Amino acid sequence: MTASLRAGSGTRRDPATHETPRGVRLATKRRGRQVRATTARVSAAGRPVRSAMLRVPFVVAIIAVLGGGVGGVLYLNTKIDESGIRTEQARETAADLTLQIESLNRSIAELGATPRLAQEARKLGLVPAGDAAILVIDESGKSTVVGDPRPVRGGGAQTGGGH
Amino acid sequence: MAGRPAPGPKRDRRGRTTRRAAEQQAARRRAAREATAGAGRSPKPRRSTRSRTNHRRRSLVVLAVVLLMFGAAVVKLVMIQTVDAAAYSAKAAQQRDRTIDLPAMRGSIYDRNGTLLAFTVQGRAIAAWPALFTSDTERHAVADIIGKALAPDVTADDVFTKLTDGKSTYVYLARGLMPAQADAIMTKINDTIKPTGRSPVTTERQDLRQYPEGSVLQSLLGTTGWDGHGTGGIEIKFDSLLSGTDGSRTVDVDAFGNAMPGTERDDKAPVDGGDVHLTIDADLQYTVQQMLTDAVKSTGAKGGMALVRSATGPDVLAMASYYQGKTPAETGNMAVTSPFEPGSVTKVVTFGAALEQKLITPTTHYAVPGTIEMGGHTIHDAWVHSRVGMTATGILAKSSNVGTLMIAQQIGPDAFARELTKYGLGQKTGIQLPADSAGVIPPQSQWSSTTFANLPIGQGLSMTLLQMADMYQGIANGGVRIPPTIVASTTSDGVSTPVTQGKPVRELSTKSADTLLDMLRGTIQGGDIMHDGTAPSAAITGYQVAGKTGTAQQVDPACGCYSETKVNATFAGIVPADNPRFVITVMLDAPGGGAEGGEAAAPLFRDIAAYAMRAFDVPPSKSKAPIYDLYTNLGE
Repeated sequence: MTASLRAGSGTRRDPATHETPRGVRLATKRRGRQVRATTARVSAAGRPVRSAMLRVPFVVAIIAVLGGGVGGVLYLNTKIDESGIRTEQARETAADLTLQIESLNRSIAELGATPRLAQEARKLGLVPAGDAAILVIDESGKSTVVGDPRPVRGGGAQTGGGH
Repeated sequence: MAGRPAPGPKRDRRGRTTRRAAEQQAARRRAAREATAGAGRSPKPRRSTRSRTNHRRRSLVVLAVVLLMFGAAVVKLVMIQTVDAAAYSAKAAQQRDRTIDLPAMRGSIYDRNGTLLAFTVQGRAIAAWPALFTSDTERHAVADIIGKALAPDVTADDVFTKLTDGKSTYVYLARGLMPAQADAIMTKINDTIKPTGRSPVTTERQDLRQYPEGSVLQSLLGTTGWDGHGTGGIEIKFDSLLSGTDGSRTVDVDAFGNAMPGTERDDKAPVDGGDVHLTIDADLQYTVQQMLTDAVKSTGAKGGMALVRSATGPDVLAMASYYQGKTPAETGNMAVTSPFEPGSVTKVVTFGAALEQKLITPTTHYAVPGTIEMGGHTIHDAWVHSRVGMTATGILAKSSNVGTLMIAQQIGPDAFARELTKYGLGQKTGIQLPADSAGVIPPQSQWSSTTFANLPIGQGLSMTLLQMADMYQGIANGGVRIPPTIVASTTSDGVSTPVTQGKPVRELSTKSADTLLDMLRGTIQGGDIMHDGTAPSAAITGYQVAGKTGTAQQVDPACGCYSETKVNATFAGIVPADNPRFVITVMLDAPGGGAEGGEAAAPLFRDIAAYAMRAFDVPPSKSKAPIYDLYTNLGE
């Protein structure tokens, strides 16, 4: 926009009055630059390389720090993810084991419950003794039978048995 | 804009402007202007000039519009970011956040020996959103899988009906499953219908309450509903302790409602419920329940109940109820909920009062006639007799109504009414069970003429089986009644807290209580007619037994009078009588043939007592109980 405006106004003015001095000025500038650059390069050979070489340890250190940082962050991230996954797996295992424990406890409670034990005892032919006679042994070791020992009702029908 | 002033009209030497020259100049100027404008500019200079001014206005307008739009955007931004910020973030959170309940595990219930009576395991329910199915084919497939897996409890038709009747957006298809079972079914379902996106079938955690002892303890423990809360018994009484506090966790969910990993936050761990340790002995409870059931069936009674409690402490060790044709849930825990007329077991109140007033000794002689007139009514004994000579022990052991009323008349109604209140009758026992009944004792102000003829012999008042046991516990414990408890301790967070016990109450002096306990041994006496008590069948080998039978006529609802055929047969006993360990009370509702307490209830007491003595390793009594003289003469 600026360029086109300037070009527009330039045409309206007398082109000669402007064109000549600007061209001269630019040419002079260009020449000057060329001269300066040539002089610098020639007169100070090796210096930029040396100064650049001086900065190398610093740059390397910065790169190392950056690289180390990035690497560290990646490493930690990986570790955190890994431990997260491990936690999740452990939690799942724990939940599974809890269910297993619960189901085993349930079996124990069922098998150890009084009605079940009574049923198993009946299957083995056991009968409750009821109001049975009692054998009392006093301090001197003398034993007396209290009551009248007799077979229990419903007993004696079982097969097998220990003695 | 022009570099220098436009040349004016050409003037002649005399300073006059010729018309022609002026015209020529103007034309030239116009031509020149047109020539310069011709390159790259609007060929119409006048328009060109106007368009330059339009540019400026247009940019202003554009600027204004842009600013306005920006302004609007800023205003909206401010609205969203500050004014409505809370509402929008809540809406966003609602779409993204999901709070997962972490259910607390319900506590367990143990008996006095640490046997598990009730505990919870994780269970699953299978539920569905019927609207999420794409077709009836899918619904059929799911119904078939569930029906096949859970037959015969659940049928495929039931499941399909639930999925299609449109009654609810979320329906339970199966409940009470073990997790492994539910997982297997879900795998099958997902393999079959292969849902894209959100599955229409899901599982829900629904814990299962386990009662390994089964129906034996059901009326005492109660049960839990599907919400996991107690619906009766200990389960409802200690619900807040047993339930614990549910926790929660918030996660972000994706579009399908699946939790995104690593987004868990606001973790509130659930606090599992505490445990309840009962004073009940599971083995004794089972045995008592079995014996009661057998006794009810063999006597032809409608039902019955039995209770065992410690004689020297507050512990209740067993309480059983059984009614023919009723489930334990229907009967409930009748030993605390259902008062009944106890009959002669209440005579101990009369004898206790007489002993306290030193009106009688065990051998005090009474000439007991066959009948007695009191309050306009004639009361007679259970057996027909003429005037006989009886000892006080004999009156108690033979359960003579006439003799007891003679003693009651000596005590007087005021003193009797006072004594009656000391036994905890008409008051709640304070046991940790719901619907603990107080029973009914008419206050003296409401006594009618016949009341004093009824109360001393145990009619006209009601008590629960537990209250009856408490009354005898005081007699067994040197006159000090200890309010009963069924809970020994509660545990929460691993800390065990014993329950606070009720304050012991003195119902009799130690001397009166011990004498009364000795006299109660007379009931169990056997032998000749002079020495035969009402319940020799309650005797057990090797142990002294003290007790009292009771036979209360039931109220016949048809006539509102006492029934001649239906009775409550009761027995209250203390074993061993020389060193009390247990108080055992039993009651049979309407045993066949109007059997009395001594015939129907005493044998049940004996069976329970004989088992308890051996199960708890109680040493046998050192000596046999003395034989009391019940009669001094058998009359004319």
